[in-house]
Amino acid sequence: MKLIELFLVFLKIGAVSFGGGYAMIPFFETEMVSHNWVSLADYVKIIAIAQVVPGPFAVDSSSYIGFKVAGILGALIASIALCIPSFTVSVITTKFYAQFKTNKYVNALLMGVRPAVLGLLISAAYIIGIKPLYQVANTFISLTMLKAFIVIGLGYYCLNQRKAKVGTFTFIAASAVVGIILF
Amino acid sequence: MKIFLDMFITFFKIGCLAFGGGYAVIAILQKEVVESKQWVSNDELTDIMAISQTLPGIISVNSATMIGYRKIGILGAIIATFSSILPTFFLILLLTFVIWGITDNIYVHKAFTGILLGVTALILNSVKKTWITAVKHYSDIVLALLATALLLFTNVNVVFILLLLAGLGFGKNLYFMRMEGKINEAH
Repeated sequence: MKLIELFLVFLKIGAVSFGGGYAMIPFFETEMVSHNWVSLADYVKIIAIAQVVPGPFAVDSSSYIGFKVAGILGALIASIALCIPSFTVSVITTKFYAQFKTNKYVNALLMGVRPAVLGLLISAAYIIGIKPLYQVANTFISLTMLKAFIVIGLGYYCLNQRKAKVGTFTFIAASAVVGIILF
Repeated sequence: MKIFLDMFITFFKIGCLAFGGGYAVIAILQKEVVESKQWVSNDELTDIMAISQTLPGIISVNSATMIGYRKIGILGAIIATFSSILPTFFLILLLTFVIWGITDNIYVHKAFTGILLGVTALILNSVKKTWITAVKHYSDIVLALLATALLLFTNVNVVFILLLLAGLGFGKNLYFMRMEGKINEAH
């Protein structure tokens, strides 16, 4: 039963995941909390670990949640279910690419969903950066929160300054060091 | 038979190297699939990546499926997709086993807090990038704000919010297209 539930939930997440990896975080969070599968505190650990694992981090999430619920078979079922919608849509698109490219309904939908993706990303930023700290402290007004906002702001500045190019690995390693010093 | 094995190995290798998410994979695909294997041309790859980013789903799965499908059909698509996520699948489970015990260590916990704040900055950075392609008109800002408010301040189910906003965006774009059509007719 658990396997069927896993399959259906991850199939659903795969089907609604517009906008790539980070925009999927709100979906993972909602499902695992409502099914009582994994706590947010454990899930964000996976997101941290996923930074040093190659590949789409949606698969990191599905493997871990699936494994927690039903072992290695659960991990496999969840990951395959997650990929089925992407796979199907890609095959269909390749076949009918010429028709799709000029179809106004397809274009209206693909463009129309993008503002919602912005909302999903902002929500993902909250779930990853602020919510875990809020769950511990239960307030937004604390020194920890202030430090968190400063670190996020500095990180954003580093990514957008043009003096030196910062690689993802360097950036993650630096974030870890900053975390050890500040928190 | 050889092409299947070749595709499995190539996409397994791409899966091992794909650090930094969908966008970073473009460079690796260029090297492996265009230059070394010549399964698709550079123009085709550009096209594939553009489509991969607009379709629902995982960007790297979309692109692996499309390349595999173009080269050897449905079986190629399955092999390319499966082998490209295999490294991620095993590595995350292995890594979880190895380091889960130490994640309660105070310093590891602090380091994770720092990493997650770094990831938050990365997400905000992709908000900036997505903004450029998503906001073409002030009505798009209204939709983005509505989505954000619903997600952050209400308990409405996230799938429902996405479908609602997609519907609104779809209707709005069709309406604008029709208006543009009428203006063009009038001229």
